[in-house]
Amino acid sequence: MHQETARFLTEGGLPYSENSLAKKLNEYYAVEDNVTRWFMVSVAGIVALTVVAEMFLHQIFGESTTDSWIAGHLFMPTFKYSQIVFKGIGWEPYSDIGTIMGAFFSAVFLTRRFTAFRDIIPPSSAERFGTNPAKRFLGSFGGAYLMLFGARMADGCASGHILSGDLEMALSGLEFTAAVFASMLITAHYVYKKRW
Amino acid sequence: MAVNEKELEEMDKIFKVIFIIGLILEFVVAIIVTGNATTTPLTASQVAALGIIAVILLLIAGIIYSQFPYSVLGKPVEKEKQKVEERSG
Repeated sequence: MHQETARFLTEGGLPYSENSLAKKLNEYYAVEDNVTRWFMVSVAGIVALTVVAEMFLHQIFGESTTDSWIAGHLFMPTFKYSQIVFKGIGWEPYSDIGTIMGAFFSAVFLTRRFTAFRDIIPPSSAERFGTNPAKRFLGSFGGAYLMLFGARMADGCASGHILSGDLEMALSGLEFTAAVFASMLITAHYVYKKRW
Repeated sequence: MAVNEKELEEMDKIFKVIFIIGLILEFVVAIIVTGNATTTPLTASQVAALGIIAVILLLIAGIIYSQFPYSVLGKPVEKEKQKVEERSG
C-alpha cells in the first residue's frame, strides 16, 4: 500500500539513488499514515507557525483571492467585484508565488518529483478513468474550475477559511472545514467508487 | 537517452545554482518593490516583478529536466516501456 502510494507520487519524476534523501522522503516519510510521527507533527507545526506569523503581521494566509485579482486585472478592471478585490488584497499573490517556489524547491532539491511538464496521467486517474489525455484534461480543468468557483462563492478557499479561519476560531471557518471534509469524502466515494 | 549521465548531473547542479540565485533574487526584489512594508494592497507591477522570476525558473527547469529519463520511484522506466511495446508489437 505504501509502495503503491510512493509510485503514484513519483510517477514521471526525476531519477534518484538508493541512499538519497529523496528515497527516504518519497518512500518512507511521505507515505507514513501515522500522523503523530515527529516529521508529520513538524510539518504541521511549520504550517501553523507560518499562519500565526501572518496573523501577527495583520495578514491572512489566503491563496484563491489571487485568481479573482488576476482575472480582474486582465479582463474586467472596472467590474465592481474586481474593485473590491483590488482594495482588499493583501499578501495573497505573494503567498501564491511563495507556494509555487516552495513546491518547486522541494521537487528539485528534496523529493525529485519535478515532472518537467511531461504529459503524465497519474496512475490513480488512469486506473479509474483510462489513459485518454482529453478526459484527464477535462476532469482536472473542470474539477479545478468547480473548486475555485466554490472558493470564490464562499469568499475564500481552504487556506483562508481552514488555516487562517480555524486558527482565529472563526465560526465561518469551522463551518467551511466541516463542509469541505464532508464533500471530500462523498466526492471521493462516488468518483472513485471505493468504500471508505 | 540522448544525454549521458555525467552531463545530466552537471545540468542538475547548474540548475540548482540558478534556482538558489533566483530564490535570493525573489526576496531582494520583494523587499525593493514593496519598500519592506506591505501594508497597502499589492499592485500588478509589484506581483509581476516576482512572478516573472518564478516563470523564468520554471521554463529553464522544464527545458533542463525534460532531458532526464522518465522515472518511477527514482528509477528510469524507458527500458521497461520499450520492452512492453516490443512484446505487444
